[in-house]
Amino acid sequence: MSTPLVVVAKDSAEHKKWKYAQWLYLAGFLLLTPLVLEPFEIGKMNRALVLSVAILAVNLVVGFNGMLALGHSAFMGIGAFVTASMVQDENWDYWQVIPIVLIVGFIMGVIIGLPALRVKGLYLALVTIAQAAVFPTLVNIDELGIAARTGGPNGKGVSEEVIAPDFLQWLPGVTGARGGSAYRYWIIVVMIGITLMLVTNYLRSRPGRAVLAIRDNEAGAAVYGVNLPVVKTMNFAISASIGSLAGLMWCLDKGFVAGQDFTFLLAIDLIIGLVLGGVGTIQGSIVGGLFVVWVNDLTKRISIPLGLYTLNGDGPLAKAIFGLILILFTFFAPGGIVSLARMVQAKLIRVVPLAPSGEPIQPIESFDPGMESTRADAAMKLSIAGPVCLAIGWLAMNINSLIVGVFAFGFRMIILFAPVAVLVATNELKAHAEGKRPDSIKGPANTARLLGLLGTAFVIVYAAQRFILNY
Amino acid sequence: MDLVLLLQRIFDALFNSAIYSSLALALVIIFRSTGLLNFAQGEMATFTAYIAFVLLAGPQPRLTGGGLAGLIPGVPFSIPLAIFGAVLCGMAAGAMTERALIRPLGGASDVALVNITIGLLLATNSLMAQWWGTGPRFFPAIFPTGAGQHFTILGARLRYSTVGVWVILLSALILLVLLLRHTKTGLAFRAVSISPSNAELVGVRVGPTLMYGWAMASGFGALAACLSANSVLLEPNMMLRVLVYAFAAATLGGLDSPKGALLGGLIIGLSQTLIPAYVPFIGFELSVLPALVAMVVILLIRPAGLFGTQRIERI
Repeated sequence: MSTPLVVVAKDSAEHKKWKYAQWLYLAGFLLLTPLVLEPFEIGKMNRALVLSVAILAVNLVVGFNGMLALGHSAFMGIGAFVTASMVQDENWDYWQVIPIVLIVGFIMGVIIGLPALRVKGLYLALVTIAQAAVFPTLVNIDELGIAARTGGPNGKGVSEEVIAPDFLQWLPGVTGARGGSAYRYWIIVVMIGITLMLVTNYLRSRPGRAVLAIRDNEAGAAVYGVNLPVVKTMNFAISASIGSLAGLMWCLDKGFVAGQDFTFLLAIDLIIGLVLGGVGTIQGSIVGGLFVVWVNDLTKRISIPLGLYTLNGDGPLAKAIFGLILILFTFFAPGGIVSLARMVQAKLIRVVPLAPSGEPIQPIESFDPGMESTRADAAMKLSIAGPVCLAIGWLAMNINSLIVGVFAFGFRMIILFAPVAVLVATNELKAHAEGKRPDSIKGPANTARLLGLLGTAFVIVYAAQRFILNY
Repeated sequence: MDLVLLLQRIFDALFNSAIYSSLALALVIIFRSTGLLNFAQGEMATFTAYIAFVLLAGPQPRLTGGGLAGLIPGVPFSIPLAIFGAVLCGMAAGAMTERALIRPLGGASDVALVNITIGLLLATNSLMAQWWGTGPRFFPAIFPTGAGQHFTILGARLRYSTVGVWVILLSALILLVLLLRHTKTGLAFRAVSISPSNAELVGVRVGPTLMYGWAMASGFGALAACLSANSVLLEPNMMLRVLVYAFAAATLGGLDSPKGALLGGLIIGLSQTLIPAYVPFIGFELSVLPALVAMVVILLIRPAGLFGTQRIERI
């Protein structure tokens, strides 16, 4: 295996710099979304993020506890209907409904989880599928005032508008044409941030570790004193309340809730997102939600002429492509997108863990490539690849075909690696100044730095131009 | 209580029961041999019903515009022959699915296998919609279904089609039992479903045997779809609802018990018709509810279903 481009000791200043770089990418992505996208695209992003939260809920049970529960669309529905009813009928604010939704979701989780978790494996899958299948019809019951609350088959609209108050007008995007959806986007992003923090901490806590232990070896966990029924039910209930929270966000985002939105098909979407993102990883849930919505969106634009016949993606074909992707991922990347991303990351950077003494367990220098400076060359290749792919992508965009279009889009994204090339090249030049590298690296490293800086500048200028054009 | 009406309702429910039992049997056969739940069972069955449709009616353009289906040569088959052909095609498709999608995965986790079948469900469903359109198609009845076509027993009408469906289902079942008991393949299949590794040690070729299992299962599924296509109208989502009931039936009876699948189908079919009729609280809209509640209650008392083998954990 080739040496990774960057080797840093854990928690060293260098490592922190790379971490900040990661956060910068994330922040850039979050900030640009409401600024660059059209309002309807922001709406799609919102939907994707809402699905991400629901997938996180599924992940908590399927990925982290190893129980095959597929019925979380019902919990989403419960959350959404409670929200719609409280906001529309009782004139509550959305934030006031949050605790109610969490509690209702938790109680529903206990009620359904207690019996459901007695059964195991695929039997549980069946019980939870039954739950998902029956939910849309339950909404229509006339007794107990349920139909009046849920709007029955017609669904329930919430007339309250979600618009940024004056003191939040500084948020990117919330003024102007895209105001409403951009403001909802920010609310959802903040809620996801808090949820992610809580879930991460939960999984590190004592009950969280018990949950993981049950997944890894149920009998072993029991022997070590984990109370299986209590921990499983608690985890299921927590997952259900996160699912309900996703329902609240759904209602907040769409302002309309109907039983037909929360069918078995939504449950299937959640499972697809879970698998494509990465089972048992928190990042995977988020990526999965984005993937489900955006791939669906892309496939809708497909149009392939086949002689007399044209394959159109806006029909039923989108689902077929999903099915195909699901099967391909199960075969070739069972760890989902996250595992693929980790493979790429392993090529870019290696973090050397510290021994208890505070020293890296292996000297950093031992990772340095020998006399041939492969690293500077790689940085140069990376910096050249960006503009070249950009050009190819630009040309390919003119070919009116979706498949090519998607690849073209991916090609153009490679330019985003330009700052990495700059950082690596700078590192190498520094090492050269310290006399650790031969002179031959100077050329490639300088080229990499120059091209990388140009690429970075281009990205910034392009984003700024999009920004100005949109306003 | 009006006894004639009760008998009439039971007779009416029997038709659906046969369909649920049949699809549940398909699920059980696959679960017994491969240990996985085939979510795509319903869609694979619907696909064979479409094949029967093409065999019967010849090439059919899509509802709007010309389609790829126009390229398939159609022969005006008689109905039983068309259904027989469809069942054969279904069996071939099932065997191919096992070979191409399930066997390469080896002993992957439940989640992976469920994913494969969900992927297959989505792909098959939408390909059918692409090919034949989403609108319902008329599928000719195999048994006479006209106004006077019924036996009269104690004043209640038992339709010929109900009797016919049960005759076909039971004879297919008897055929299956004979196959399992008296042929070498059947013996191999039983050995594999008890213990694949031991079967392999004594020289049974596990892979091809599992392929036979999938073929048999898909055959039952195809039968279910072809027999019900007349009453529920042929469309891509035809079996999605039926599949939920078949899942309930299979779970109720125990996922690894064919006997249980048959009985589970009966219970689900009857409760679906009888409970809304006699419990005023539950309208027909909610007819799915009692069946599923029954399933959950039974699972609570017997976690492996009525006839399923209880699992014993080995540490």
